[in-house]
Amino acid sequence: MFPTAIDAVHRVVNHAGRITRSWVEDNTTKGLSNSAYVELVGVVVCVLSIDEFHLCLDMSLEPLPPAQAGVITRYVPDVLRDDIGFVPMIPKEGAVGQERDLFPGGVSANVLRALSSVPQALHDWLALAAAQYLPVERMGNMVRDDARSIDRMQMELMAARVSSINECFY
Amino acid sequence: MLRVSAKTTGTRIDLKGVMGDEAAAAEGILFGRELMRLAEAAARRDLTALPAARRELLAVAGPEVLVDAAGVIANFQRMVRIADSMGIPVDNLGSSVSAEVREALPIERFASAANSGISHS
Repeated sequence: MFPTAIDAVHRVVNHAGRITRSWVEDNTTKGLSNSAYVELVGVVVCVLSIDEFHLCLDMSLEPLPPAQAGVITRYVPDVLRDDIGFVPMIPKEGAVGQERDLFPGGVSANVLRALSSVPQALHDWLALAAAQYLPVERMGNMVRDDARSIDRMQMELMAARVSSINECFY
Repeated sequence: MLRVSAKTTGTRIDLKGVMGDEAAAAEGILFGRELMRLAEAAARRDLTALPAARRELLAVAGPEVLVDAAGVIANFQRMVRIADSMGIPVDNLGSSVSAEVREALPIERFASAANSGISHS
């Protein structure tokens, strides 16, 4: 892994709140394209949150899966818009064609759009959120999800405390 | 979302629990103090506080609650990094709920507030 990517992993894990557009743009001149950055973030945060789950429960961390042979798709959605954030994203109305399942139930909050330029990263987002928190389609239930042992206020208290400690305004 | 959930259920809560006030975390939220302490220890990666927080929650709420709590904490360790790494703004900054929360909590000082067009001092 080249130094720019290593630095990006470090920042995403430890200082995400200090990441700026100029830093992301500068990285593109050092070989870390916007698509590569989005994919890197998607992978890093998935691994991080699986590790954090294990840490919370005092379980040994899962070993990383072995690398598999295959072809890199380098797939990029047809329609991306540079209207918010540091990188282009699929617009709110842009989940059509091959991207039609990216915004479940039509929910296109910015945190869903964030990784959408690499659709697989958003698919991973959706799968992990459904397992650890709630499926997007059921996030509108602000009372209690039948599949969970804690109610929504209990969930959101923890979510907000984690966000606060990480100094995340979003 | 905490404020929205409390309004939806007609529950009186104290948002200061979000900033680590244990009594406030318990206001209107079952096991609120213990849940908040686990979230805090995990998010701070405080390996001294985490075992005690885990034991306390397990003792008062049981294993199912502990597992679901760990899932939520892990999920939001991911979400905050996605939001800030991508620099996305808050979706509903102009809503009354958002204004209430920003008035109650000192979150506009966070560097990432700049992503929503709020300059911090």
